[in-house]
Amino acid sequence: MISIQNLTKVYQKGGQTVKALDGVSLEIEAGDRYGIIGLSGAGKSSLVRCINRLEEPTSGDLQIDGTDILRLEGAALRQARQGIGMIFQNFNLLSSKTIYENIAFPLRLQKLPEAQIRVRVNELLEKVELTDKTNVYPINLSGGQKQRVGIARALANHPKILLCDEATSALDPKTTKQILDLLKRINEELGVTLVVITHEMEVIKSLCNKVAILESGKVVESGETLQVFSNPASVETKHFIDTTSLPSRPSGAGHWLNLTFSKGSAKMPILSQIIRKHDIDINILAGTIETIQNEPLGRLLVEIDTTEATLKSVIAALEIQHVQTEVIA
Amino acid sequence: MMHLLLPATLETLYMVSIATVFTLLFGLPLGIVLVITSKGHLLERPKLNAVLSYVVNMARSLPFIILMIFVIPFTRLIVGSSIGTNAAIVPLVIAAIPFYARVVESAIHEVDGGVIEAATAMGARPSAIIRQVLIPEALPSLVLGTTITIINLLGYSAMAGTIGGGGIGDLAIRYGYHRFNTEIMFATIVLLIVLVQLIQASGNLIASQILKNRRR
Ligand SMILES: Nc1ncnc2c1ncn2[C@@H]1O[C@H](COP(=O)(O)OP(=O)(O)O)[C@@H](O)[C@H]1O
Ligand SMILES: [Mg+2]
Repeated sequence: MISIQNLTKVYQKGGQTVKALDGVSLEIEAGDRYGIIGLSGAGKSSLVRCINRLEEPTSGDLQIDGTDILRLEGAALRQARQGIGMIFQNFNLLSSKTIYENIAFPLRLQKLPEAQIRVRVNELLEKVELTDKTNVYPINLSGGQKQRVGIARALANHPKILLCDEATSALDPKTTKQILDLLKRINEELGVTLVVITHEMEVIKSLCNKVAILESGKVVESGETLQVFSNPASVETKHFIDTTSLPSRPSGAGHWLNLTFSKGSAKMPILSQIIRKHDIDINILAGTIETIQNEPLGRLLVEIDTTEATLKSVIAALEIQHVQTEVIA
Repeated sequence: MMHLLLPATLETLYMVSIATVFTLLFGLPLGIVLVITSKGHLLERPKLNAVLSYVVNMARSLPFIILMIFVIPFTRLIVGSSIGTNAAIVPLVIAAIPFYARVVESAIHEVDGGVIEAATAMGARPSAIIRQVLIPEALPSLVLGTTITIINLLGYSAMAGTIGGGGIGDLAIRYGYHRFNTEIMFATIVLLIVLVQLIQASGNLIASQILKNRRR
């Protein structure tokens, strides 16, 4: 649906050049909830803003449903933008208009008849559960309510794509969850493809079926979220995933192992089987179980005091059971 | 005294209100163009912006009394005379347009860039963004800026009295200054103070009313 090929974006700023995007290629399919995660300054906003041409890419190719977005100008570009909704970290509502008028804004741009606008706005107000705020101004709303208005406004023209640039970064955890649930519902019920920009792992875990990790303008890894999480290929990805702080490694102790249990292995008594079979002690130092896309993903940091040979067979036994192991030096 | 003060006040109100209408008519678009042609804005045009900005600064650096004399040929062209109330309106408008354009510029500049971006992302054309985003969002500041401009016009109009524009300023000079009539002098000062207070208070009221409405 959204096909990005070798996209680059270079900013010129006071004689200096900043390469915000450095050859980004992504395939986002219809119905995806596609997450793009990276540290601040990685180029996430630049990337998402190229999709609706708020930013002009320096080079590369960008197609939406076979339409070359980068060739569009004037009325054709405006038309294309009406099919791409966008929500923002700071909501960007019009303070001079009521909630009703904010949501009606994109419809008025199309000069739709008043009766039709009323029907659509009321429909949207119901969808985001704000019917009681119809004639209120944005200043009176909480952050979560403002973002729901932003979502309603972005959906007004029945877009196929919704771009979300740090849509929950200004919200508290509870409100974040509500907004993420709403976005998920929109994706599932309306089939709207989501492109979700964030620096928070939690957003990816609970919302996105696919993820790309962006670092210094480059995609270092991409794929199904669970796949990327349970088997990270790049150092950068590991950095993102490893949010649990490890205890510092004392010298002279046993071998330290990082174990990742996913799909099949997370619910089985693998460790106790191994302890019995190899007659060793396993000391659990740290552990977490996360839910990613409704799948459990467990991580354990363990210490095993044994010989190199036994360690090898333990690792082999673990990997047969689909437990990813990593020896920490 | 009333037979002097009343017509003078009416003349002043006439000059100032007609001049205000024309100032808004030309100054508002000029101010908006100054913003949207600036760097990184809606219709970035660096050269046009630089030229306009230069012209505005030039016009603003002339003291009103000099500008008034300088534009006499132009006034004659438009009004057919360089003397009288209507003739005084021309230099008033010319002096107030660049001032008002800057007022509008700074008010519109304050509109959150994110809101403009959101409208662009929705496929709004620049004209729609100007009318439905920039002006409404900046309205409270625009009202206050307009108030200051009207008060400026009132001040200029007193000077315009000296080229036969009439009005309160003219009365003050003819009776208060040339004929040493302190009573008239005093009355005109009181009148001007009251007018300025009224204009400012109305401006403040309208602006705060708009803001109050938006907190509803
Ligand atoms: N308008 C701009 N002018 C100059 N540099 C910019 C501009 N926008 C972003 N950048 C730079 O591009 C890089 C990527 O920025 P951005 O896309 O906003 O990253 P992110 O959203 O991941 O934080 C940063 O180094 C930033 O400073
Ligand atoms: Mg960003």
